[in-house]
Amino acid sequence: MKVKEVSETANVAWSPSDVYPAYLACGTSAQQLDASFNTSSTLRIYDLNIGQTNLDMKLAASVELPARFHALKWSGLGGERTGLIYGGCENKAMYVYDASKLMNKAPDYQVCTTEGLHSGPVLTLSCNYMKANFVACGSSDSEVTVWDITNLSAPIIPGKKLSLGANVSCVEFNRQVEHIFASTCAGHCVVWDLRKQTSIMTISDTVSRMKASSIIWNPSVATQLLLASDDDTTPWAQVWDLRYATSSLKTLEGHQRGIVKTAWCVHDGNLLITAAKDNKICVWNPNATERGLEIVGEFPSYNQWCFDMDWGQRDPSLVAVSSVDGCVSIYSLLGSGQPPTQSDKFSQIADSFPGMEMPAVAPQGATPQPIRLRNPPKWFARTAGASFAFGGRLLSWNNQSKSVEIAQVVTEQALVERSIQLEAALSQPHFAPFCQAKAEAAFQPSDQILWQYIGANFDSSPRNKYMELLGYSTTQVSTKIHPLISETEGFNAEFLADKMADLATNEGSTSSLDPSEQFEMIASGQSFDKTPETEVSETEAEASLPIIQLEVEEKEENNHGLITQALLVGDLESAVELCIKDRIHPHALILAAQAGPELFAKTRDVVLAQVDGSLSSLVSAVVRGDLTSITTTCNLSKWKEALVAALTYSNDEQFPALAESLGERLEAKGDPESLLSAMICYVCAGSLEKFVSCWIKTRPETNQPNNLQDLVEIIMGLQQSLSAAGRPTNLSEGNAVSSLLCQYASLLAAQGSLTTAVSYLNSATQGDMVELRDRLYRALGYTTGTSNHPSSQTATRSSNLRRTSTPQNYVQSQDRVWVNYSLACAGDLPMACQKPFYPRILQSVKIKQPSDELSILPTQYTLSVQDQQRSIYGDQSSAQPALLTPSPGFYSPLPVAPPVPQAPAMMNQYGVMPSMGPVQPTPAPPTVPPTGALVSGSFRRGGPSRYVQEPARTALPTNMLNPAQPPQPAPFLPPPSGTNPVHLNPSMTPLSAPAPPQFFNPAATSATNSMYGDQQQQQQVHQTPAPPSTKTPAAFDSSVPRGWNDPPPPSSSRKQCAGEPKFHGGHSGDKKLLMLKQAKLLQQQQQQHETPKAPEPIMCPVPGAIAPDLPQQFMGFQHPQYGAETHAAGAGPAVPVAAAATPEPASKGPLPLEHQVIQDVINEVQSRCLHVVQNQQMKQRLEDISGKMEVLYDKLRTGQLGPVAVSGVHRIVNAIQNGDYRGALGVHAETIAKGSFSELSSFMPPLKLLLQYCIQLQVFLQ
Amino acid sequence: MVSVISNVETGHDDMIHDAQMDYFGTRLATCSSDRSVRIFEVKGTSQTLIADLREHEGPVWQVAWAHPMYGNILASCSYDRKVIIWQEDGHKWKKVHEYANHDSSVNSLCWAPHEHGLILACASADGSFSVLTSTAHTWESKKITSAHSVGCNAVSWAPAVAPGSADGTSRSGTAVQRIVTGGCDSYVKIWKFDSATGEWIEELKLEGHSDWVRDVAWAPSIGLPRSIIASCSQDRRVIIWTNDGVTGVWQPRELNTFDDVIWHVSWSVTGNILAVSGGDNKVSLWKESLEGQWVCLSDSAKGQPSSEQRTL
Repeated sequence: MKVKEVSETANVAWSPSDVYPAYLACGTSAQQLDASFNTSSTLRIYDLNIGQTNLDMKLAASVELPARFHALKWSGLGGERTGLIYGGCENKAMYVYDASKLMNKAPDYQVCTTEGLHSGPVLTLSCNYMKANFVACGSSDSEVTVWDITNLSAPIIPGKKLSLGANVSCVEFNRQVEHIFASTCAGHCVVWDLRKQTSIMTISDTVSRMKASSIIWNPSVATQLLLASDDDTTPWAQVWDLRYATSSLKTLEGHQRGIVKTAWCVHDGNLLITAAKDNKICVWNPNATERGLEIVGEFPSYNQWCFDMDWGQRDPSLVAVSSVDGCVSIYSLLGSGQPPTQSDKFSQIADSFPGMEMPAVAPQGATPQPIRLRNPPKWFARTAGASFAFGGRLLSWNNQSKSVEIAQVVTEQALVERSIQLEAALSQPHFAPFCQAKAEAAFQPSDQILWQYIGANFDSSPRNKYMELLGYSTTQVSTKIHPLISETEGFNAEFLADKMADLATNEGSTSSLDPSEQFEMIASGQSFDKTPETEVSETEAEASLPIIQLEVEEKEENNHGLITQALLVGDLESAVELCIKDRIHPHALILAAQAGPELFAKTRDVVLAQVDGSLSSLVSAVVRGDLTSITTTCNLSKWKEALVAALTYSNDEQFPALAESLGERLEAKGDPESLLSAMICYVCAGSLEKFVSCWIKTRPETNQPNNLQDLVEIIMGLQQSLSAAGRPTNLSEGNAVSSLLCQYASLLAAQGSLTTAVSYLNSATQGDMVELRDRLYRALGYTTGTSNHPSSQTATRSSNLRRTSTPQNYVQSQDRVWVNYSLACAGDLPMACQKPFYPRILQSVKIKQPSDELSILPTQYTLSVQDQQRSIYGDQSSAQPALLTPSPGFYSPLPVAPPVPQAPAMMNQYGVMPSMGPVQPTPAPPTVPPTGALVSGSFRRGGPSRYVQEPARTALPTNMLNPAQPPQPAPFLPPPSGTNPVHLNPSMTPLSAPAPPQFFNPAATSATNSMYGDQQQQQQVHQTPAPPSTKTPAAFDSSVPRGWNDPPPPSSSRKQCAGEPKFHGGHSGDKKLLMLKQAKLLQQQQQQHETPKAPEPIMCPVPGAIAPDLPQQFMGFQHPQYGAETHAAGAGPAVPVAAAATPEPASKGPLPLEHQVIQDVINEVQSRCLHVVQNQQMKQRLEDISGKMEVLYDKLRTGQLGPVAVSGVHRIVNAIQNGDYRGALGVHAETIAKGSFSELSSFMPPLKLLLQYCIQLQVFLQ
Repeated sequence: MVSVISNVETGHDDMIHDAQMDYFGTRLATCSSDRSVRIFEVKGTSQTLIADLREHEGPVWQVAWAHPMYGNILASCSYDRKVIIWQEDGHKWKKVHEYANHDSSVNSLCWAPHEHGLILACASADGSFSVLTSTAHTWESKKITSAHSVGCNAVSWAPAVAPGSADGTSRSGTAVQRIVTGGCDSYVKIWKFDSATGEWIEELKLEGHSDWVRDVAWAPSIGLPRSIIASCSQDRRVIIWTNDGVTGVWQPRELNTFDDVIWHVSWSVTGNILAVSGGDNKVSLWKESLEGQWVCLSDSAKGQPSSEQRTL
């Protein structure tokens, strides 16, 4: 098929190879006449117009010339880039034209002419292939002339003119030797040597007597040429080698009639074209060894012979052919082309020459076959190449060998080296040195700081380390405070306030010396004042037990007399009021504490309101446990202080959220410093995801390997440190982290570090990561379960374990990503998916408590704590604890006002706390007559110590107390640590029964031992009511090594009460460190009991005062009936309590009609939030909220809420309905300020959280 | 930086034209002028011949592995005008489909991103390219004629992530199918599948080369909205065409003018490194610097350039 076509009866010549685009010159042929007998001559230049996929060529130039052409050549040599066009014309002249001038239509396009210098028409010409200015012309009468076009006056006549008197039919310069050319004349071929100016050889075929009419030199073999005959009787072409010129090397036979034109491919000596009068154009391989196979292709037949032909100089696949039917066609040797449009062209000629023997009309519509060369041309094949493969492999091959080279390309050498270092560090048992090294080697201060914080988690006490890094080393602060403290004895609020002021001048450092803790100590101390142990342990108190002055006289300057009187009659409330009036805040608070939580809270708020200055807000926040307000409202320039406060006062469950919210605020600020601060907060919070997104803000070009490596090092460091802190993270959970790790892994993979790369993906659960992991596993040859690879499954490396997964996991998850395709071999796709198993942290703690002097029987307590994944707050099976659980943000001094039906449960739990449970519905505190215990100095005596120490001494909660830390140094361990197990177990026991079965999974625990470190300690094998004998204390101890500083696992921490630590903290600066530790320990213990026991210290009344009222509860505390696994047995006084606990939450009535809107709105807005929330953590919290809101509903049901609270809640709900969350928050704050803390503390914080989420998630009811 | 791991003696009797690793980099397929396709299992420095496929009747130009989600499938194209799709069935490789609807040599083939399905594009010297789509039991083909006059030398699929969707959310289904081809007309053409009409339409014609375009390679997406195409030509140049994904304009940037014809351009799997190989048997690696300049990372010459190559 033709590529291009133009209607011309013309000789053709291609533009030189370096001209782009390619042109074709067509000069009107002198030998053919078209039907019009037009004898005018035109030289046209066509643009090949290769870009258009049609047959048209663009005319680029056209000039009328004096004579028609016998020969046309276009040579690129010489000065003109577009070359010169040489025409041998019928008017005995050769013309030379400048091609560019022709195309530019410049008038002086003719360079020179040999007009009048030939004896006949110039029938043939050949341009020298090496010397631009030489051209050989052949004319009639055997005339052969070589011209130097720069000097036409001196033609070279090579040797003696042959006296044959015939036309010279062809001249052709040798391709390699510039002074050799050949001519044909009268069937003979003469080879000339220009240097010698003589003919050096005459070739005559004496055997077959072929009369040569045309010559073509072998383009690659200088001594070879091809002679062809246009004589129909010898339609052959012969290959001659001048070195063996006695006979031809080869005769190419195939044409039926004489060969008119030949062309030999310059780029592939194996390609030769001959055009003959039999209308055939054949492609030959003149070098073919096998006779008869020389023809390798044939041009499509258009039933017309061709008289001129030129092989494309630029594109060797294109051949221009001029046929006698007046058509110039361009064919591609490679077979492309357009379907013919003028199949009837030859019929025109047939009409013109009716006498001629013309072939029959070609059948219409017959599509000519494209040229199909038997073998591809040499230039066509790509002989060398390179291709990339997975893992940075580069394959390369070339024609020098039959092998393929596989090479590893490493473009990020630095990255690979750093990754190796990181790997080495990660494989070490201790990661801390790496952090340290990174911090020391850090170029940027920000990096150094971050690494210090990351490293802090490997410290023995991360929180202290954090504080130290933040500039608030506890020991330092303690030293500062110590002298002040030791000067005084006992405590009073004002003095404390002074201390706080002091601290404030030192950048507002927060110590654990907050008043509430003191009061807690005081209260509890007081309550156990009469016990002998307290006396023993409390030495400081001795001095402050002076004679009690019972002054009842009324004086003018103060109301001491009145107060004394009020106290004497037991009118604590009045006494408190008077104290406040007198601004004797310590007394007021002490008395209030004595009077009961309600009064205490009220008093506290009043006192705080009275105390001036910025400090009070901090104190207030601390007292209320409202750390959220610290982190959400503090001046950002004081973020360090806020963080320190959070570190000090929050528990492990709460802290991340606090630090995170602080970080979010800082991040929102956006300047580099704030971003760094935000990152520090995130590091402390362990919020990988947020950290990463923040980091990306500071270094937008994370796609740069070095930055990515920095980030990954930090991520891994953080992960290590978190897991060291007992908070293992799944790296594939967060989007930002996982996509970065995926990016990192693919970068490593691209460097060939496949094993390292895969270790970052072992826990992958998402599409891209899983896909990449699969690829890596297969690339590494890991077994993937296909039938093709029955190799052993040895893929699990320890480093894989590090990231919690194994190839098997992968395999099983593979087909989640790849659908099984019909074409796929079924066996190739591993089946079944299994998520990597993460030991979910449903916990059960068994406490072996030997008998002690309190005559607690050696029994076993089993209690379970729901895991973090399944929010206990929202879980139906744990509806009861949900109600009892204080909100994380607030300490609730009062039990959360349980609805009536649940009161028994409360009792059960708080059996020992007379002020709670049954007392609760009747808030009026028992009027306890003032006793000596009320003297401030005696408040410190250690009720707590008794409770802590004794169980500890008897090795009671071994899972709570680190054996390494003997109980002795913990004299101030606050009561809950000791009492909790006792109090709470019974009520928890029923809860353990519905615990999900997966909960009990010893295998998981052991398998993840190394990873989950501390967490595991909390994960005790849970067996609902297991016989006590199954667990000996020793076995229990050994399986639960516990460090006092071990942060609790995130799971349990969720249930922790935010405000607790401060209530249990010590009260003396020099013991602060210890107190911190104890607070932590306490938290851990508390976390295992999801009930709010924080109130105890405050609540704990003077036993004597309360015991008469609630004997069974107190007994419950004192006696071991809880030890019985099932308290259903009516053995103890607690029996009624336990029994009452069973029939319960299902029977909740609807809310009062007027309050129903509250529930509706809150539920609606919450579910909408849940609908849009992405963040898993947020979702979890949102789910928690509903459980917490139950408290509100219950209070509404029972009408426990005061008018302030009710109206506040209604206003909030109203604001929510209006979408005015800011307003709602305002009302919220207002309500809290006005309302009773005890009333509000349980549900207001979650309500606030809900509001904040609504804002954040842009959820509106309208 | 470039360290030789191993040399796979292919045992071919003639010139090797292509070598490709499968998706996992564990199997190597080679093809040669000896008309055969060979598959090796490569493990470390050792390799085992697992298949010697001899169905072609001419030099085999290229081989291409399908995404493994479709099974172990290899396609090869040859001067014999055929495309053969091979599949491993059990331990045996066999021909599962033959496409012979081209009038001339099939020069290049490329599997579509797996998101689109099991689709193969092949480019032929007859100036057309074909898109073969595997349906449940058969292969459907669509031939786009007159794509490049004189011949079509190379074809490459656009990644499935459409330009402008950096987050990768608009995976197949929404992602437009695009193909880039390079031809003897020295053009690089971008074709877009019009799902409404079911036709491939010429979307853009990129002019920049002055001779046969020998290879085109659409860079794998690296998550950025921009698209990159590398093309190499007989004119000894490599051009990097960049579309920022916003303006839709393809900006050409000449990578380099080499000493010899450039046969192949190949992107690394991560799309950031380009391997350029040509007639002088040299392989050079190129990477875009932060400033947007393409810099040569390494240049390795192996053997001597063959004397008979066509240089201009």
